[in-house]
Amino acid sequence: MTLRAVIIMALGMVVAITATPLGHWLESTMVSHVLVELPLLVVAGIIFALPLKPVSQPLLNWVNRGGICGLITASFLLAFWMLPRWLDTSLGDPWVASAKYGSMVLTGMILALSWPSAHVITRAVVKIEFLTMFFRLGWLYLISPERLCNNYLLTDQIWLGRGFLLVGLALTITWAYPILFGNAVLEQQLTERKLSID
Amino acid sequence: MNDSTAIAPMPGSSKLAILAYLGISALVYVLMMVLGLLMRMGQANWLGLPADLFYQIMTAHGAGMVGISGLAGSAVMWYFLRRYVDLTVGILWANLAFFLSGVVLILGGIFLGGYAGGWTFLFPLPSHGMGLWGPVGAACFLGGLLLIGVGFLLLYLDVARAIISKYGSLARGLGWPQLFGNSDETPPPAAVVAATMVLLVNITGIVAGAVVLVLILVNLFMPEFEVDALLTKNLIYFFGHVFINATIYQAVIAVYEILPEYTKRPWKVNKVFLGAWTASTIMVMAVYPHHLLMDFVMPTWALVLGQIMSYTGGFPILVVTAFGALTIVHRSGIQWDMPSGLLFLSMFGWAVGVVPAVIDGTIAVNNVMHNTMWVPGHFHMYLIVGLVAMLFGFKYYITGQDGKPGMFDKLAFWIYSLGGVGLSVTFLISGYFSVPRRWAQHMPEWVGLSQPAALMGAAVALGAAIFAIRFLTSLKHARAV
Amino acid sequence: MQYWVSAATSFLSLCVGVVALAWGTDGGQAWTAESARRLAVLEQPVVLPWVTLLNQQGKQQQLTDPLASQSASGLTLMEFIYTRCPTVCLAMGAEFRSLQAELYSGLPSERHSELPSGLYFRGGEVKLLSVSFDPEDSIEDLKHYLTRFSANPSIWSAAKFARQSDLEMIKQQLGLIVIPEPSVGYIHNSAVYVIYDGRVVAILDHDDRKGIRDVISQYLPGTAGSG
Repeated sequence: MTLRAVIIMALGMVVAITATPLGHWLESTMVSHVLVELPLLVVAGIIFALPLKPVSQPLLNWVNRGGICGLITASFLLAFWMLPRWLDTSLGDPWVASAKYGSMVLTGMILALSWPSAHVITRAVVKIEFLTMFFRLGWLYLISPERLCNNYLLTDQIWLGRGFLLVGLALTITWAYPILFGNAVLEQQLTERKLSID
Repeated sequence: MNDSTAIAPMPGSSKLAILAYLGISALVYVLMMVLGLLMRMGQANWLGLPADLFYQIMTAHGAGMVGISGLAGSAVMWYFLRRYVDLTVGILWANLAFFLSGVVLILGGIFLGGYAGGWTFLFPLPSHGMGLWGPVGAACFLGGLLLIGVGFLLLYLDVARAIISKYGSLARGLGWPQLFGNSDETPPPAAVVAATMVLLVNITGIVAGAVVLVLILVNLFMPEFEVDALLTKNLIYFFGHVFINATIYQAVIAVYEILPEYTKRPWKVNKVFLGAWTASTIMVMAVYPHHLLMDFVMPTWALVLGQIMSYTGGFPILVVTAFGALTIVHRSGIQWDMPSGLLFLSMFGWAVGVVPAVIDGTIAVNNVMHNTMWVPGHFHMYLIVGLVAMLFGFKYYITGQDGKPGMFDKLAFWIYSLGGVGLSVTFLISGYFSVPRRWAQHMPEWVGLSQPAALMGAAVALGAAIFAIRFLTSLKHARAV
Repeated sequence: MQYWVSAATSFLSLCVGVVALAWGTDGGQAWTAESARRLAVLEQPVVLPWVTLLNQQGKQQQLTDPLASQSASGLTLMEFIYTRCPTVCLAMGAEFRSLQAELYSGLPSERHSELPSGLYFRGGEVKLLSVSFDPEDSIEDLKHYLTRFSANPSIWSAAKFARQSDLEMIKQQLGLIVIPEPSVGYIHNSAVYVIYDGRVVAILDHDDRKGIRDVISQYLPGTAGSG
């Protein structure tokens, strides 16, 4: 599949979410809103950034060295839309909803333009902070005595809390397994051999 | 030195960083010992210590000792590990910066904000200052811990990166192909095995700590989010126990590296050694429920696990290390000076210090002993005579103060070791007579035990002060490697 | 040089991020949409539109004038309900009944001084109003609702919207959110709206008795009882 086709598909996905009943359907429960719709938009953003990478690299070397600035910005964008207040408001206010869609796509683009240049320690810190955040949010949503969003039921919230914990667990396993049981030295050698053959 | 890899000399900046870690830790140890002495003098009725100040001091003493032990232990690990893998000096400095910022916040939270809820910040204590402290004081304390955690996280991630890029994975860093497979490759050196275990348990612990700290911070400002007290206690003790345990598993690398230098015999990394470290990786993370044996709402299986792990968990590494140290020293014609003497003393303190913990790990005993002075007796023995002796042994080593010890050093050695054993024994005896721990004011009949304890505490602080001065005045002789 | 530019942009994005989060939570005061609308009303009271209600007697009345006898200086405590509600509205009704007892003990004015402290005698000045947002509620249902909670008709009335479009307008203006829920009917953000001089001046939890007393003292100082 060509890059162009992938981008068109991502664009189709964004349009489907923002301008068709699909978005409304995804937003009808908190779990699908937060754990399906928002990540899909981020993925679309990552895809949109693919052709931008070579063009923007000289600028990025100046303003986004090591991906630090971008990763900070992306973290704050995600944090902002994790505020129950704005997630809730986005459901009734089309302006806020557009800001949310735009922020998520932008987050994906920033991530894609920052991650490759990020140092391995930076990546590890981001990953750990990310999965820790899932555990924190999951716990908070499970113990919240009242509804955090006026548009969602308390049971929705509890399901999202469980979802957060599950995603946190899945990320932990996915990220920990290779560093525990993989073989980075062998992979490095294979990559080098492949490069030399190429 | 038992690895064929060439030893890379430490560049200037990393030497400076290691010396900064060790110098700061030497000073903080003495300061924290003085705080301990003040508490004992208050209990001995020799000092009018107001109760609120006592609990602030107790909180500072606990947090300070745990934190500085982590810092000093990591310096020992870093120093020797660098002989085998490529570590980042910038990260070492970053950890120190995070640590010092955290310390400022913690001290502010305690002595300005009035936070006195103990270093274990058990829920809901931080939000129930009863007028002694408000949410801001508690938040400063918790935020300080969080900052320190971030620093250590960076450090252990860098260690992980270095080990993985040389050995391939953390399982290989623990020597699993040699332990479980039939690999005839040379296993990683002892320092790498120990560092792998430490980073595994500490990263896990820090993640648990980072979750629970933020949840308690949220609760401070939004009390409607009531966290489950039992779950937070589990996470806090998981994190706290792992972290304080890991200090000795970092410092013990000094034993693996220095004793072979003295005896000209290599430290053998065999299957028993690898098995002990792998077993302990699991056990150190599973042993913490022995802090919750009195919580009757805990599931029985967890408490039984806590007791079994308490009986077995501390032993594998202790046995392979103490046994290894004995065999390596036996008939080697080792020269007894300050580094080797303190390292050997630490083996004794570690081994003896574990015994009261094993006794307290018995559920039936724990129910009547855990809130007495018995438990501080255990960890003061383990830490003063075990860990801190190990660290000061390393400090003598790195400043090139081996060879025939001076009179002051010998004096300090005996004052410190006898004072340390004596202080721990007075704690243990007090515990045996059911004197409660964490009481600012002691009943008249307990004062007879607190007074000798204060004297012993003064001896420990004096000995440590001499060690610290000897270290700080010998910095110019510090080893390059 | 590149290093310093990136350090500066990172620091800048950190600052902007912190400011954005502070703005987005009103300086840490409002993390949820519910707390945000309560905060907004305190800062800028909402002027209620001219909306006609039908009360339990089938008579028309204005939203701002629940018992038609209200003097301009009176307060109205309003809440939104639906009469079939098996959950929170029951608690809200019980709360209003207890509030009614506190507001109007039935003692003649010369005996106000005998009331225990903390009790108000403000039956003439504070009215209670339960407004149904459920189009299926009939006048009969409203009447039953009041009877169920032994409402004193001189203090507590119930009403429904005369026009459905008015309900939508009120929802929009006050941030009232009603979502259908299969097993109970509706879930809504329950609260007590304090109306003074035709404006909503505070939105409080329905069981926040202390908050309600404080608002009453704030807007109607003097007379019997204090907070």
